[in-house]
Amino acid sequence: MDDDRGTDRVSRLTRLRHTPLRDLLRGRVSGQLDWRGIVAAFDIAPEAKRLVTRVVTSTHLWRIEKADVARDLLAHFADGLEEGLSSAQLIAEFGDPRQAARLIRRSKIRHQSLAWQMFRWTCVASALVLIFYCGMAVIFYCGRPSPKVDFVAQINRQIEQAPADQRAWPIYRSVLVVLRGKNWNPILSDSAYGRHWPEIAGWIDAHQPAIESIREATNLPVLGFLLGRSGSTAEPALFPANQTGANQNMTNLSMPQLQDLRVLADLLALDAKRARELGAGNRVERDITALADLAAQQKREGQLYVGQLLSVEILARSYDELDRTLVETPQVLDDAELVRVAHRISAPTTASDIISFASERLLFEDLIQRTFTDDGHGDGRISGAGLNILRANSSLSVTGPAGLLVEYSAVAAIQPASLLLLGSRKELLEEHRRLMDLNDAMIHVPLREADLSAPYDRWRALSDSPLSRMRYALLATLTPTLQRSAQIAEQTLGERDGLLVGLALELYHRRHQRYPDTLAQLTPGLLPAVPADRITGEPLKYRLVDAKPLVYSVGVDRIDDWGRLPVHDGHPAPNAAAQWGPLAKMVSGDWVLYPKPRIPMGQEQEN
Amino acid sequence: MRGAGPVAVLRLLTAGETYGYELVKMLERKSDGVLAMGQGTLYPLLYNLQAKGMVASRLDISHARPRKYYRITEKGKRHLEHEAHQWQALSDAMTRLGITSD
Repeated sequence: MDDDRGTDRVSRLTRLRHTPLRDLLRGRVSGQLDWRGIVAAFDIAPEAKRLVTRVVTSTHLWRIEKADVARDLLAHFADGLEEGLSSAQLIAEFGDPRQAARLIRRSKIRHQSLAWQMFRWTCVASALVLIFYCGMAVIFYCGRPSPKVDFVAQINRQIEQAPADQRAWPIYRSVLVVLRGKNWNPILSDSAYGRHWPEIAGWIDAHQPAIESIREATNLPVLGFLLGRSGSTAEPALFPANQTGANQNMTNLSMPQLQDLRVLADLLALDAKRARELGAGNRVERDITALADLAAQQKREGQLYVGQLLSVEILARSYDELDRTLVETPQVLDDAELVRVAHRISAPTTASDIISFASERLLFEDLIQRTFTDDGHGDGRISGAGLNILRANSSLSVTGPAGLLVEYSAVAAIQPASLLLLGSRKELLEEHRRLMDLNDAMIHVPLREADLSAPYDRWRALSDSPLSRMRYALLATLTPTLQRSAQIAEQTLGERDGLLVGLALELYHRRHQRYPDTLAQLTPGLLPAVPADRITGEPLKYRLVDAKPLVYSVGVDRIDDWGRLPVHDGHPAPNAAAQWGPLAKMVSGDWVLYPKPRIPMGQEQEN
Repeated sequence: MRGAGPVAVLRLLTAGETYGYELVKMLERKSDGVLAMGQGTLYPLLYNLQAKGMVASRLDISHARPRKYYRITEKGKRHLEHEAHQWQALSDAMTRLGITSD
């Protein structure tokens, strides 16, 4: 039997034959590699056998290799005994068994086939990875979030600092409870410009005391809606669906009051229309002002993004009613009322005056403290419990690769991987703060002066690789499109600018029985200055069309189209030209601010 | 003397194939005990040389007790020649330094 490894051909062939599988099969099936049997069968002293067994065992080689080594060592002992040496002498001459085993192992491993070596290192690497992963799993499953700040209670404490008689919600609540008992929703759900208007008008007339209560409540400085299940939603008559379930925090806060505030705004807008019909200028003025005040109340306490958007929406309702008044029945407001309304609506200058992102910071901080562990130094890791919160809370839907991790993390085996894939508590909080600072900076100046690229650039820098995108995925998916809301706020302010000019034009017309040739003629008597085009910074454009004034911005293309509206898919798109920043799409046409364009679909509804 | 054992084993194998115990005896005898080594040292050394392709082995099963014979390969011979030059140069240097005598 020749196991010559001196020539390459034989050597490689032999090495290929010495695969772990072959070793396993042959050793198991035939018993040929039963090296202990080989030792037992040799006719040498038990001490020598023990020495050979000890050395061979310590090599930790495969059986085929152990059998080979065992045969060599046993033969050596047998040869020595044949030569007349004693077992004791041979054992003494053997050398250090541990070192011998180590050297034999090293030399035999060097002799192993490439396939086996690859297999061996793969096993070693796999074992190390498994040990590492098991360690991670222990950290992951043992980690428990320990929320320290109750943001909901913190917000409620601030609200409760206001005296009870300065809070509007108790009044709104009592009105809503009474009105809800009168089956009012079906009536008010119809459009004010639909065929049911006479019924609506009758209902409005019949409920003037309630509407007056709402108007008065909007004058109060605090909305006063207490968050959480034990807060203002603990009112079965108003919120029957919100009486059960776990305590609420910023991440699972239900806000049923938003729908009710929208209803209050509807009522004020409907009342403004009814007041215009009746020629009740003071009531129109008070409704418009009440809408603006309601928006301000909601802005101050508007929790979360959706609450802030409602605030802007209500403010836009106020401007819309003023626009309708100036266009349809300008005479209903006397000069003093026009001036008072102008002063009332002129206050906001930047988007930050009508929208706030502060609650988004609280939401993120609350989410992180409920999903990440806390090492006491501001850092921590995602936890198993935290991942379950993310998965269970549909409003916190995480998309992209991280979404898959969250979605399928029910497979417990893959959950610990999130320790490696998601950023740490500190990293995420710091980056979120940085992104929010950039977003906040955006709304504290006119949008045309803001660095709208900054949040995008920062986000691009954070997501320059798939791993990085995964690391910061929570930031991308939990941070709403704040730039979009900043644009909505800026558009609302633009419409307000148009209304300020519209009010001045109306006053000018009353004094001169004609409209001015230029807007400059309105200053300084009726306007401190001509409002700047919110896109270009130049004075707003003005012209007369059919003897009626038209005030507009040149729009995103910065080209004066004489007040022509952009067209999209064959339909007028009034706000399409009101865009800012790096994602703005070039649109031909102007952004008409006053009078507010009523698109054909709206006109159809009105008819 | 590090590196002396493998060269000595290769040199002994140039005389013909032999088995482990015989190699131990020959090493002890021919080096006057200077390069004597136990089997705990010899076999790792042989396995190393085998792994490097300098030594080949065959299992002789023609006798009652199988015995593994080792022989030097062509690669082993080339290596031995190279090592012999190195040892000669080292010996000459030691002589010139007066550490060893002619």
